Formats: sequence, structure tokens, C-alpha cells
Amino acid sequence: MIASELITYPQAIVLGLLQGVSELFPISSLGHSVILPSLLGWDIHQNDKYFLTFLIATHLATAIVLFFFFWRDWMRILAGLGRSLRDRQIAPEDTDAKLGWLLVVGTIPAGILGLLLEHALRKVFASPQSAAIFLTLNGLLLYGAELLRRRAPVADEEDDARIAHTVSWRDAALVGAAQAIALIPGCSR
Amino acid sequence: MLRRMRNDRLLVALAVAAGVILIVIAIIYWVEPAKSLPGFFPGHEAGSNHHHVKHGIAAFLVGLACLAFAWFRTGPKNAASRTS
Repeated sequence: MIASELITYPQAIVLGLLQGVSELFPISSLGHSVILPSLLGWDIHQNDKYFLTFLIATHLATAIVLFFFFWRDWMRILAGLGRSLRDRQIAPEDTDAKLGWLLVVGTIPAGILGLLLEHALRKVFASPQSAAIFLTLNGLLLYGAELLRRRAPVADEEDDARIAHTVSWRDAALVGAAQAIALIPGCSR
Repeated sequence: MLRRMRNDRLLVALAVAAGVILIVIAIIYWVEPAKSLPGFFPGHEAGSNHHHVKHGIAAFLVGLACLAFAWFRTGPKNAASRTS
């Protein structure tokens, strides 16, 4: 492999910054990382394994940071999961336990679909054109979601409690399956 | 009510069986290379020495989820609702 094909340190910093900023918004950090090298004319072979590994590493880094940022929430949810396992039931008032199990149920279909589609998805990681198309579609989707959000009734409950009370197991599985769409660069969770 | 109890027991037995089988499958994925996996396993590839670690992790976690389902299903709340 020649040197020009590898990511340089300045390019790595720019991609890392882009990932750090875009991960927090529903605008597909992955899509941005895929189109940026082409937009800036970087000589990076995006279909090589090292590029995918680099993108995964930046995602892992943001996941670690967010895990520590929401440390107290995670501890609350983990404690809820522990309580429910000990009592062998999810108490109706235990929103942390319900939230934790909803997360577990939602993660299973996303994980399975990710594994099944792994090889097919690798090709789109090398295609800035498809990422640009999906980013545009994602923008339209966000606009539609924003219109729906404005019409939605305002809830008095705190978000965690509202989710625990209103989201069913089936809903959680559906959300998890829909979340697999975010594996496509350009589509956001 | 008797039928419901039978269905519930059957569901729990199926969940436990699925959980145990999936954990065994996970171990096979971790131990055996792709070429040695049974032909009907996703990821089987003749001549490949690649270990499907991620397939193993997925099978293990889904297996645990099945066991957790059985655990809750046989908990005090469900037992009480079955007998009432």
C-alpha cells in the first residue's frame, strides 16, 4: 500500500472533529465521514479495510465519551435491570428497569440486521454518491418528522418515564429494526 | 386456565431450549473457523480460517435474552396471575 492511500494525521483530526460534532445531531455522522474525503479531494481508498476500521474507531470513541457523559443515567438503568432480575419482574413504577429492557429489546433486531447486512453495507461505505443521496433523503425525513413533532401534544411527564409508560415491547423491537437503517451512510438514527 | 398454564410452560421450555442452543452455537462460532462450521450455519465458507466472533456474540446475547425471558416468565408476578 502506498503512503498516499493512508489517512494522514491532519485528515484524521478533521474526520474526528466532524464525527464528534455530527454524532450528536440526527444528520448521520457516518454519511458526512464518507462524503468529506471526496468533497475535499483527498486521495483515500474508501473501499479499503483501514478506512472502515478508522470510521468504526471514531464511532467507538464517541460512544465511550457519551457513555461517560451519561454515566449516571446508565448506572440508574443498570441498577433497574439488576432489580428486575432479582425480583423476577418489572415493577410498574420502576421506569429505569422498563427503560433498560426496552433498550435490550430494541438492540436485538438492530444487531441481527447489522450482521446480516454487513457485507452488502461495506460497498456503500465506499460510495460518496450514495451517501449524498441518503443524506438528502434523511433531510427530507427530518423535515417531515419536525412537522409531525410540532403537531404532537405536549407531554407533562419526563422523557424516560413517558417512554417507559407508553412504549410497548413490540414498539421497542420495531424501533430497533428501524434503527438498522442508520447503518447506511447518510441515514441517521 | 389449565390450557393457559400449559401454554405458558411450553413457552418457557421453548425459551430455555432456544437460550441454551444459541449459547452452544455462540461457542461453536468462537471455537471453529468458518470452514469447519456446519454447512447450514450463516458464515460457513469452505477453506476460510476466519472466526466469526461477531456472529458468536450475537448468538450469545440473543441466547441470554431468551433465558431472561424465561426467568421473568416464571417469576412471582406471572405465577400469581396464572393461579388467580
